[in-house]
Amino acid sequence: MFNDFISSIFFYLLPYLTGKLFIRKSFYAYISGALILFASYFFVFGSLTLVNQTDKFSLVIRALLFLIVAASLIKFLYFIFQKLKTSRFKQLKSKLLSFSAIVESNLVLISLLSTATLLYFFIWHRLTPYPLQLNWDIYEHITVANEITTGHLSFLPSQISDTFTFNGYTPLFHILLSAPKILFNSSFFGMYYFLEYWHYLFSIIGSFLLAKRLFNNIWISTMSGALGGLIFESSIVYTSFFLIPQTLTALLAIFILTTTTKFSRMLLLSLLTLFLMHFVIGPLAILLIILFVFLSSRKWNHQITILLSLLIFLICAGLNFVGRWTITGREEANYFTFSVQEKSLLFFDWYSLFLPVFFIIGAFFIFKSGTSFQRIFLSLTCLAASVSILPFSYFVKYFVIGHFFINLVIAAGIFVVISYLRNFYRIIALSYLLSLLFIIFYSNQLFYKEHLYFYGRASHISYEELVVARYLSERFGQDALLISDPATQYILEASSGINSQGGAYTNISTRKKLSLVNNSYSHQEITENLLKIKDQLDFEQKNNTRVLFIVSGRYFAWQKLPDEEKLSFYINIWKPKSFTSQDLQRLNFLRKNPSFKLLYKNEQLAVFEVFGRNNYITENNYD
Amino acid sequence: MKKVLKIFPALLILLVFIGFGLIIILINLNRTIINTLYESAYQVKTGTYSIAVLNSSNEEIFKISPLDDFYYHGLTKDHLSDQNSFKQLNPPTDKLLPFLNDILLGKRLLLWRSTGKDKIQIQYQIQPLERNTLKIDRILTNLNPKTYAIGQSLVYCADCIVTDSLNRAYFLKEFYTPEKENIVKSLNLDPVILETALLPKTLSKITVIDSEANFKFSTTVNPDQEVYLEQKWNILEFKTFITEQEAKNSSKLGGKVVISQIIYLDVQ
Repeated sequence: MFNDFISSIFFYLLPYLTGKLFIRKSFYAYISGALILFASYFFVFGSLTLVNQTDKFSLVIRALLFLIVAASLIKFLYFIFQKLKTSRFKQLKSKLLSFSAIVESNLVLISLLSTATLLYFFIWHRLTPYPLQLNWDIYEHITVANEITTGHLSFLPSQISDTFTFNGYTPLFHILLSAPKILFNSSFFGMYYFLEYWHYLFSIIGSFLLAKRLFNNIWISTMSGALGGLIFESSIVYTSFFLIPQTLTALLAIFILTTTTKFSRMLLLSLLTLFLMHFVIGPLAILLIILFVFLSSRKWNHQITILLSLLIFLICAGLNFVGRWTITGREEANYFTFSVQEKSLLFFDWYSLFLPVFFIIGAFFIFKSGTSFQRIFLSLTCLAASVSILPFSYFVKYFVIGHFFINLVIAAGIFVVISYLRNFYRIIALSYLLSLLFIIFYSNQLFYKEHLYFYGRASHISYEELVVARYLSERFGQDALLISDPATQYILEASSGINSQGGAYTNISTRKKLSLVNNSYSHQEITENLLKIKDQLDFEQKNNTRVLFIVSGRYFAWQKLPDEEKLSFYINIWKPKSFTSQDLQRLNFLRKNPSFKLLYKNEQLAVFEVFGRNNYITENNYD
Repeated sequence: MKKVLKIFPALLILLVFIGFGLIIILINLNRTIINTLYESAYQVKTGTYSIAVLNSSNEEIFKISPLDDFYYHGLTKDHLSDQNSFKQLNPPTDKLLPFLNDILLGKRLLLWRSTGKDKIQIQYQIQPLERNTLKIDRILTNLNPKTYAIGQSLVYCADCIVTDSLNRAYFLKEFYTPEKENIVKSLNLDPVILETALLPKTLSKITVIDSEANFKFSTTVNPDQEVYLEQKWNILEFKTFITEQEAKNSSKLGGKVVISQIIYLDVQ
């Protein structure tokens, strides 16, 4: 657990230390460090490919990361030594002594983060103990990060794992994820448990600092930070609570906005990072940042900018009444195309009355008496919101950036209302509004977790599944192919590192074969259908000499779905399931298959090795 | 008057603030109203007339309803509710309590309230306990003062068999068909043929299994309870006696009769 905790810190620290070797400013050090690591991974991979030694990839990267940490340590010691040598040591000493003053000046932020920590662990993760997860998307990212650690790298995730059927980003995020794993040999699951907590805190800090930069008002900053921690988009967006490429892109964009004033080389590097991090969210973030810097340098009446962006918003909103368009051609895209009513309900669920009431008050206040910075910001808020409400599939995801912008305008609106009160009453009013926000948050998180309850826990994964994952990872490697229902494949591929055909995005052909397996009472037919399942990527297919058939409670629940739902990429068995008595009967039937060997079984999963592809059952291996 | 006028805007703002908060609370309580409890191996679902407990494959294990429950008064045995008197109630407090229970105790609760005969009010309070165990509380108010017993019914799954811890299977004489006899033999159970619906008073635990010996659920029987097997309707009725005072008090303000039952949905 401690190892995972430290690794989670190094997810942020490694890029920072790498960049710090060359760049002074902390945030830009992180950005440039991330890019250096990205480039180094490709350089190492390319070099090892040339000498046909990609199996040494992890080893070389570890050495490189050790070097970075060692160099940073030396640089730090040198810095201390220099300070000791010069008279500036006295200043340093006085700085250290004034630690209490630093705490005092950041007391509000510290209180905010402390409360957020309580909220995170006692409400959000109350029924999801270490290392269980609440984020369904992480498994595909862990799978790619796992592949990277074993020396498979490409510019597109779909070339690294067939779990990815759409390339929305480069593997930059996965490289950052794999670095602490390679350095500390930690577990991705345990690391992620803490990573999302840090991400949550950083989202609050980002909201707080952005408000501080634009308004320089402690009340607005506090409220913005609190909104950052209490507004939970319980579907599609998940800004503060989930760490995935889209949320990290949005968070980085916010930090760029808090530090940037003009165009510079560092800004260009930052924008490049955003693009590499997410090809879809990145461009919007880049556009907003460029507009912000560009408009900040122009002295004109930004009230006109606001009106123009409002017009764009109204046009985008109006388009919803013209029609809805499904893009990307993916079957699941239909489920991410929303009507005006559905979108309004989503936003109303996430914000309740805070959005219509305080956003309008805040926007009106900024329009009427805001500074030009604030007015530019309001214009960008309208633009960010415009993109989120466009009637195209997946576009609600763009709200991951809008989240920070809208929250800040709401915070300004709240301040306008309470600013007429004396400090004492202001605190009471603020506490009252925070309580209401807490109720909204509570209901959103309850709604999200409603379908995840399993044996007193709320998670997509169970301890039993993690035990099986460990069993598999200890006994099998890259030579095995894991076959099960899409959800079991998805989770076990990530947790065990053993390859499957597409994880949750297993193709139609595999889904049909799995259906045939369930409908058949012929051992030979079952075996043949399972052995026909092949991986999509060449390097994966080449390795598949052993076939593992995982039969789980989820597998049987999936098999009971109607055929059209079994073929859907959107429908999964989202939570673990125990075997029912009916399932156990089928399991007993499968055990009699002469080509199957039962390796492991608990109350939720059974692991069979299927013989017949390149290996055959013998007296020795069938006990 | 001047003072009133002076504080009027402040009062107005206060009222708007309170109204704003109340609307948010009501909206969110409504949103989180718990109609279904999703647990590990089962789920509890409320319907129009009953609450059903289903397994993870959505097969009904048993259900409870005031239309199947009874109250005994004088020489009469009456259903707690019938189609004419039944009306599902939905007071705001029933939304608030599960919400607070979740926030403060982290425990999930399902409340379901309806009216019954003779103005009886019936509330089912269902709470999941550890390891696939369910606590069902029947909270009755406004009982007929002459009520001396309550019959809590569990309508168990079709074709299921009622057994005890000594592997005895219970059948009413008219329902012990050759087909059942074969099943009992194949499952190695000892058949007990009953002349009346009353099960032996020595029973301390009842287990319901299906015709392939798969466990469905079990429940304990209190020494002062009588259990009736209405095989025609697949009903197991647990008759719990109450005192005259309890019945009388149920009509008073705050008075109620609470009858609890623990159901095990996992082999214990």
